[in-house]
Amino acid sequence: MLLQLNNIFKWVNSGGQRIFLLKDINLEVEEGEFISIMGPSGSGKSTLLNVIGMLDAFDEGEYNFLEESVHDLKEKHRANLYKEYIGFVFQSYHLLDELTVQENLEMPLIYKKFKGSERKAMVADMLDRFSIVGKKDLFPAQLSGGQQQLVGIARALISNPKLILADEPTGNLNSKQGEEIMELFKQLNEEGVTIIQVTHSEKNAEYGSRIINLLDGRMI
Amino acid sequence: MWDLKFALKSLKKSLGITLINVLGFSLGLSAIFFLVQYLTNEYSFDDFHKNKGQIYRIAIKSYENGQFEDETFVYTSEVGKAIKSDFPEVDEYVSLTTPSNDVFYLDNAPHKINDYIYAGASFFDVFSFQLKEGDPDKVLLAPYSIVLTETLAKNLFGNEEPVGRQLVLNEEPYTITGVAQNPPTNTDLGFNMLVSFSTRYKQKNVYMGWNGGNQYVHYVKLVSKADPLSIEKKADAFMWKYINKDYEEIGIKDLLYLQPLSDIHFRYNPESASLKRNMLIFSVIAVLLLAIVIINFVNLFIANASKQLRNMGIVKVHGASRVQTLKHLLLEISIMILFSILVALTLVQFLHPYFEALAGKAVPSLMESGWTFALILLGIVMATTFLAGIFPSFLISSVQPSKIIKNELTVGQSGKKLKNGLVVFQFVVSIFLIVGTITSEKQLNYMNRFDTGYNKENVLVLPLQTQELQQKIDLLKEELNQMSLVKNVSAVSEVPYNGLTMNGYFPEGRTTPEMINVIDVDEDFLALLDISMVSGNNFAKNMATDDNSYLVNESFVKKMGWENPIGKTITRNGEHKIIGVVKDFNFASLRSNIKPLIITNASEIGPPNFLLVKSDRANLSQLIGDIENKWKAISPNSLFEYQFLDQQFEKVYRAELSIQKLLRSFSFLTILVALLGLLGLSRSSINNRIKEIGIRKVNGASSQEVLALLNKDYVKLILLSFLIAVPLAWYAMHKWLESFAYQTSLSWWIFALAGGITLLVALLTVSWQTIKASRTNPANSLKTE
Repeated sequence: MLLQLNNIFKWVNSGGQRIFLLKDINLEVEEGEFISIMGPSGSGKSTLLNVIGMLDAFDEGEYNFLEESVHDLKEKHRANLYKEYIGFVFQSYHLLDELTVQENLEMPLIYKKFKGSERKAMVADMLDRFSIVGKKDLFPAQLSGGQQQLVGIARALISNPKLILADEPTGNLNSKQGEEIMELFKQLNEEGVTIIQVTHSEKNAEYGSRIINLLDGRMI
Repeated sequence: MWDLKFALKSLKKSLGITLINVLGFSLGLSAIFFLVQYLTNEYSFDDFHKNKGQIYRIAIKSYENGQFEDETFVYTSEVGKAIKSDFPEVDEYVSLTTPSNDVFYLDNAPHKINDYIYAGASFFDVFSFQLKEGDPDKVLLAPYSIVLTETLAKNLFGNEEPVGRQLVLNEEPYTITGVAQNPPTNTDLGFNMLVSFSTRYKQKNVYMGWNGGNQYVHYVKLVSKADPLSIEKKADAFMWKYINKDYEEIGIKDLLYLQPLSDIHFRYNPESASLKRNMLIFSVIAVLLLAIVIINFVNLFIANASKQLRNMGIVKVHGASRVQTLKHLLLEISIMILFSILVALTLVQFLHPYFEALAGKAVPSLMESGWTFALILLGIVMATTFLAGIFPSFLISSVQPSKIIKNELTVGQSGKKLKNGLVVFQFVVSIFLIVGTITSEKQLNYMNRFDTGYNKENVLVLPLQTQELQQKIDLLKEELNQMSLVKNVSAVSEVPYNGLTMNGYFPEGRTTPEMINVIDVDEDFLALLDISMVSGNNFAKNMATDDNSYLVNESFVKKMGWENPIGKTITRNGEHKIIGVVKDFNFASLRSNIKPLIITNASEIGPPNFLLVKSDRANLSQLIGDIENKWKAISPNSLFEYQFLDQQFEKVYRAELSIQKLLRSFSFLTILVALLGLLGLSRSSINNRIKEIGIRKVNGASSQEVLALLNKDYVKLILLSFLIAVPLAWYAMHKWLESFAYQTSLSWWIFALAGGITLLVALLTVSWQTIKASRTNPANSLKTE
């Protein structure tokens, strides 16, 4: 088992009232799964993704990731954990505008202390795998949305994470680009990468092996 | 490497704001560097003398009937020699004159030499001035010996050898025995030329003795570890032996004490007090400017934070630790600061002549500035980097990476409050400095326009620089009077704008002498300067009896407490009858009140030194040419120089003028830097509000309404700044004006003007951005990505 959420609650206090963002979430994810999280706006999809990605804390419940009890870990350990095992893909790509495609791919490796020669090899590998060698010296602004997201996914994958978290990865793309990205996810999943995506689209959700529906912070 | 690359790319990406930031920072820093240069130079005065710890200047406190009268370091000629012979603690002494200006002849060609001093033989032993040519122990030994500075030697002789050549003063030849290196800028003992002190004993009409001729300054070098107090303790007996026993019957007692060389510049010189005040003003300006520069930097960095926050969020999600993000941000800031410092140093180097002109005195250049300056510079740079870098870095590096996923990237309320606080501070300083500038301008104007009691318009001052001219004075007057543009001509001993000679006089009924200012004039003097008589008569032409008579001013009569002064007498070298009283006029600077004055008509204090020429035309250039021709015809070998009386009068306020200029420039700069900051700030704050503007416009707001809305925040900040600045500025200006005897008023319009100027330029700056923003099509700004 890759991860397990038991009775997760997350809330904020507003005007003396407790507003639940997540309510009693129970979820088990096996390695190799492709899960789609669906639900209307404000249902807690992104919050759940952030909790799984360890970027947001929760208020109650247990979270186990690869035999580690995330809820007992200190901030720093938790950060190390997600840095090692989780890759993120964003709706608005979040590439660094001032860096080229190649440099954007290299960036996570630098913070993970890979040597220069290793980094070169891994970046070259990834450029090759995504067929973007020709674009390696371009800046994000010179790419189409689909191409930017391709770079975003390549960046998420570059240090071989066990889990990819994608928050509406096709949200800013047209349907053709979106389809290509979903095909890519499917292919990656077949190669063994676990994926959890948040999506609004029924069609995109179909790519996954399992769909989780949220409403008002609750799984239904 | 990665960090550096990323930092440079990040800076390049936001080039506009980076440049604004670097420009403001460099400008501010260059001004600060210059001020530090100026200040360290003042603090290093006469610091270079090897024996500085053992060198003292002899000073005298005079008492009359037990009452403290006067304190001076300019005294009679013999005290240096005597103190050396009487005190074993004194290793060496050197006697000097105060600087004088004269016309010397080189091969019959006249050369005006300014600021030359007579100096004792041990000058180069006591002080650490360097000789380029000549033996330091001998160059000033023989009478009629001259040591030139390099610059003067070059001016007079070009590339020829000066040593052995002769200059002529009053028909006596002087021989050049040495060439000195130019004295550094940081000395109160500067000179263009030195003449051996022994010459004074040979010159005609020079009194060398204990009881007269106060124009000498004496320095002593004590043997090492000697205590100056031990000399001061025995000084009473010493002074008694040489002078006080003669003075006792008139109730005068002079006490000697020693002024350490290192304290002279800031404590014992006549201008020390104003110097100290100016140093304080400049230090405050430097600190304020530094604060503003740092604030700008912080503000612009915060303003630009949304970009930084996003980037730091992204790298954190991808594995960067907080320390790594901090490192990155600090690196980016350091690059900007380093670059700004390089620009600032270049500016300082490049603008040095302008700075010097502004300061009105020599200031060492960057290369000459030495270690203290370098260390202070380093300190400033480090403090700046720390203050400007640490805060924004911590703020931004603390970004929660989950925020990027949710696109919730803003600097929180605390950041905004801080930003506003800093802007208010900048405007408080700006308004304060504008008030200072206007007030000092007003004060200066007031002093220039002040009715000094005489008319200084269209008056030429012609120095009579040779004996020949002084002897031919009657001929000169006659010739000049015949010229059609000349209204009046008068020969005077001194020009009454910056103080006059003082002598001891015995007014009728007094047994002790009064020290009173005196000017020697001819009968045309009062008419020429429009000085009116209160009672009695002016000196009459061709009446020998009047040669012996005196005029006095109102203050003199008041001081004496006389009901009817006409006919009373004043004794000095015989009895003189008072024949008239003139209306008070300011013959010294307006920093002090009008003092008692005696006007003589007998050349008893020496031959006339200046000719005053009054014209009824404002344009004197034609006249000057004609006068020069007459002048040369009468005395072909003399030097013709001229000044305008009104300009000379203004020069008296050179210290104030120089302060005024500096204040004006630095205020301007400070405001410029603050405005640059505001420009950057408004730019990014409007970028952050572009969506809000769109929404308002879609809902019916006009461009004008949006503009008003955007500008309103800045108006509020400036109003707040105004309220804070006014009392501070009022207090400071009030204090400053107190140092003048005649002061201008602190009108309300000064404050209103300062506030108005600030508001206007700030709104203009902001509007540059806001007008553009208020006109944007909401369809563009509301389009989601």
